[in-house]
Amino acid sequence: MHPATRFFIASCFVFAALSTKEPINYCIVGFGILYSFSVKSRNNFNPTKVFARMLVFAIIVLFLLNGIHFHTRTINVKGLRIVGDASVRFASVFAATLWLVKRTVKEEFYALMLSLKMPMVATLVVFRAIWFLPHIFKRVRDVLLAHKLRGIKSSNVFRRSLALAPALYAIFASMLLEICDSSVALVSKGIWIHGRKSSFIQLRWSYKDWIAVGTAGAIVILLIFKGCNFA
Amino acid sequence: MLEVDNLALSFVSHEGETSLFRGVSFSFKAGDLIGVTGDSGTGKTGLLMALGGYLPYWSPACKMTGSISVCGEPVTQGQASNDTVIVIENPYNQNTGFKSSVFEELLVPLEMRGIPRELMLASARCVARRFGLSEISGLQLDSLSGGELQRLHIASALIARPNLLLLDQILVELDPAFQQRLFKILRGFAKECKAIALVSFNPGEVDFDRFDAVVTLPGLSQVRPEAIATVGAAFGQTVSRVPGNGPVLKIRDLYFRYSPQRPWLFEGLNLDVLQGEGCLVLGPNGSGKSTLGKLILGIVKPDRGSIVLDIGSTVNCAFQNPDLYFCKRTVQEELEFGTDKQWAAKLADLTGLSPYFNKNPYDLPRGFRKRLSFAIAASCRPAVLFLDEPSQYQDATGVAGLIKAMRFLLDQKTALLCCTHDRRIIGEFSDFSRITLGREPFAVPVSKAGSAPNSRPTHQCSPGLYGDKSDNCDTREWFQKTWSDAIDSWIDNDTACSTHGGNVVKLLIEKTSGSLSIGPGSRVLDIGCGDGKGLMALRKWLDESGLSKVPLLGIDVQPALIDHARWGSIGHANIKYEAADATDARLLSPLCRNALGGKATLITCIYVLHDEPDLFAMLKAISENIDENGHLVCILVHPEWTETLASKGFVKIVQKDSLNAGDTSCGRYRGGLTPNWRWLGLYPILGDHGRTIFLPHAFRTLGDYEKEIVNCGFNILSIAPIRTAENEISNDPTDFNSLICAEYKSIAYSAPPSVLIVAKKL
Repeated sequence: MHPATRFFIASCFVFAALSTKEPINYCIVGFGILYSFSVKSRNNFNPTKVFARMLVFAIIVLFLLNGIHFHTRTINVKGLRIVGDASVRFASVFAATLWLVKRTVKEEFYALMLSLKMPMVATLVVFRAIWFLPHIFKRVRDVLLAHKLRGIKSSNVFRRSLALAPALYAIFASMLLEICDSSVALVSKGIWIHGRKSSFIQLRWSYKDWIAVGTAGAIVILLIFKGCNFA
Repeated sequence: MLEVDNLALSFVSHEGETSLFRGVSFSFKAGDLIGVTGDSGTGKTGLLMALGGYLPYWSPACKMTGSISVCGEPVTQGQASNDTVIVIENPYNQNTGFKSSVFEELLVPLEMRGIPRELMLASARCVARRFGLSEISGLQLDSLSGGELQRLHIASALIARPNLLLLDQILVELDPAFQQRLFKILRGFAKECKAIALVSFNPGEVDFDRFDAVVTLPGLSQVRPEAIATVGAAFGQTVSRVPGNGPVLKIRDLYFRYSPQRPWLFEGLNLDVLQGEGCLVLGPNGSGKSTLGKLILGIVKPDRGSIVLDIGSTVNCAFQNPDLYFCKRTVQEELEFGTDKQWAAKLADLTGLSPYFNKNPYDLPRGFRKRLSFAIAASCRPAVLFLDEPSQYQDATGVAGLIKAMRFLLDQKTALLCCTHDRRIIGEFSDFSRITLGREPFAVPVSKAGSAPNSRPTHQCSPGLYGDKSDNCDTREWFQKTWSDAIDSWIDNDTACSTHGGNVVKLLIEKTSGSLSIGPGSRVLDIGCGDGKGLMALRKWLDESGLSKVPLLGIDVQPALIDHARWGSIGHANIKYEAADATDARLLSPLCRNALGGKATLITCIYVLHDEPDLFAMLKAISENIDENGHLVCILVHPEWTETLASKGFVKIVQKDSLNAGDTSCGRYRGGLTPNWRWLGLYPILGDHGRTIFLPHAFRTLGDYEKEIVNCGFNILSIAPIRTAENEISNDPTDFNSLICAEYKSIAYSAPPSVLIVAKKL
């Protein structure tokens, strides 16, 4: 499937989740989460766990903020609705992003940006952003391991947090060195060479894309005419 | 072509101006291979960066005087040049981030230059093969070892065909065999492309005679490799070399691989490391040296086996990347963290870090940071210390200091496991035990200074898999020919034989010459059993040989392809068949083990199409599912056959070299998409969903098959070209074989150009 189709489907999903009323929106988001969590990742890494943790964390924070009357120590029913609404917004974006991350490989994304004639600077910024998050997680793991071998204890969350404080210096300093090396490599490989770039991956728009885009678009139009939240 | 005149480079800091070098002048012509050497901190990297136009533009603290010109043009500061490419020392930091697979990353320089896809592919195939990347081209970048990554980046630099190629201390990551090959490639590249290649290296890492000229930077110490050996030997006499009594680390029956799709890195590794013992962990790039350290530290878990550390002992590791360790403001604070001052001072003294006690670790050159990480790892007095390429980025002085420190630690009863390619270290520690990893024979690098022969036992975790194979496949001329060249010799070849259905058995008996040992406990597997003719013939042969109880399993891809009616009519109690996508390596193992109750003694298979990862996976799975001394009979069709099919319009070729597991042409059948072939009236390959063939990039000749079979642990007994007898060609106009054969009747060849390979598992 063309990556642009995936983006369109993801956008339509988020629109559908945000524009419908409960309980349909819960069903849509629930389906989206289950699907995006269970779908196989085409990349070497699987971010499901990270996304799941972030989602749970966000819902807990929302619940603590809105779901409890702290002065009477009772559940705030109105607040729970707010938690539900906000969770749907979070979760729909999370599910769509997770699905995109799992199903789109970098090569396709690069080819897409190239076909959209995005300036190289923008492509670089996007890819550096994509590169940064998993990279810094890995670096944190490596540095904590190295520090653990030095005798700095990181057996539980609290100790890990304490261990992270001195490690932050190592993490960022080593990342800076890496970024310097990386920028030399990028320039050397010709990122700033003027003229047309090409891509090994050839993106093609197939009948599947038409079907997918048509179906997703039809659902969105239907929702608009049916009187969705935004209409 | 390259002219440098009176070049000087210096850095300005709050402590004043520090000169890296001054008065450097040289001039080289196109086609030269140049070496650049000097001690740590003398400016090897700085010089190469200046030649590439990165310095002083990229660093406001850098000052440069003098001039540099390439091809008569002065180097433009800060401007990316089409004609100059640099590869830096740390392979992990050079990925562009645009790509996730090896093959795609290789192509980035071509994509940036707007090279059309077709041309890219031709160049990439050639370069990938020369750099030994073909086998790993489908892998993800983060699954590669440092050496493999460095190969990729050098290949990626060469593919851009620059006028000036700058390689900054790249040798440290590369195994000696590849270093040799690299110098040949570089020489050829410089001559062919009329380019200049500059390789910077630490003194003693490589012989000067590899280069046309060597630039020695001012301040190069007078310590030469010979001197290192002397220093080491003299020091060695003063310390006790008798290890303690019991093993401090025991590894038993260790099995490990990163994923089921990848080969085993360790297969039954057994190792005892004694207290105070020194071990050199040797092996080519990607053989699992660093992984062994990760296993010992518990960072990755073994698939099988145990790693036991003596009670009360600790293990530590100095990783390749030194920058992970530092958390203090000065070198002194780093070294004194968690240990006593005396021990820290001793380590600093041995490693030559004492003069830098008050410096910030990140202000040190990389070679010093590496030494500091080593000292930090040693500071907690571990019982076992794993050193991952400790001599990386070290000049002669650094290596001498490292050797002293290692000897000192041995004296303190610390066991050292040191993985390295560095001949300076290997030559010095000739009295160490050697653990040789990897599937290929590994030539231990020896410096010209010489070294004593290894007097300690050698651990070899994998046998040399080339076995008793007498002739190297590279020498088989006709086997290296492309099909169009090779076919003429086949047509008149007396050894050409016919294979179709039952003839497989006849051929098998002929070619194994009685060495095939099938007995009551044997199991036979026919992969790609198709319509069952071969199965029936095998069964008949087994029955006639009095082996009616030997189980026989036939499996084939795609349920739609299998003629269930025919299979049902076989009706033999001792033939099992599975209609599953068995060319998927993941399915082959359970199929084989469940249906046969163990590994197979004989596997026959036919491979027609050429989805490279599929074939790799298939051969590897076969290798894992066949008995020791089991036989493989394999019919392989020439790779160009696929292209021929495309040229006749039978199939569509997609030049997709980095495939995912489900992307093979067989994989396309999954999910019940394949229409019934009878309904289509054609072989399913011509069906709507199945006619896409992903053309491989690795197999261009039959010799490539042979190499892959050998790499999977087989000794090839015979290779024979085969042809289909005229009377075996069907007259059925809907039969795919007859269609294709008709095309080739005009050239008097009545079957796809194939070979029958009989091999024995070592």
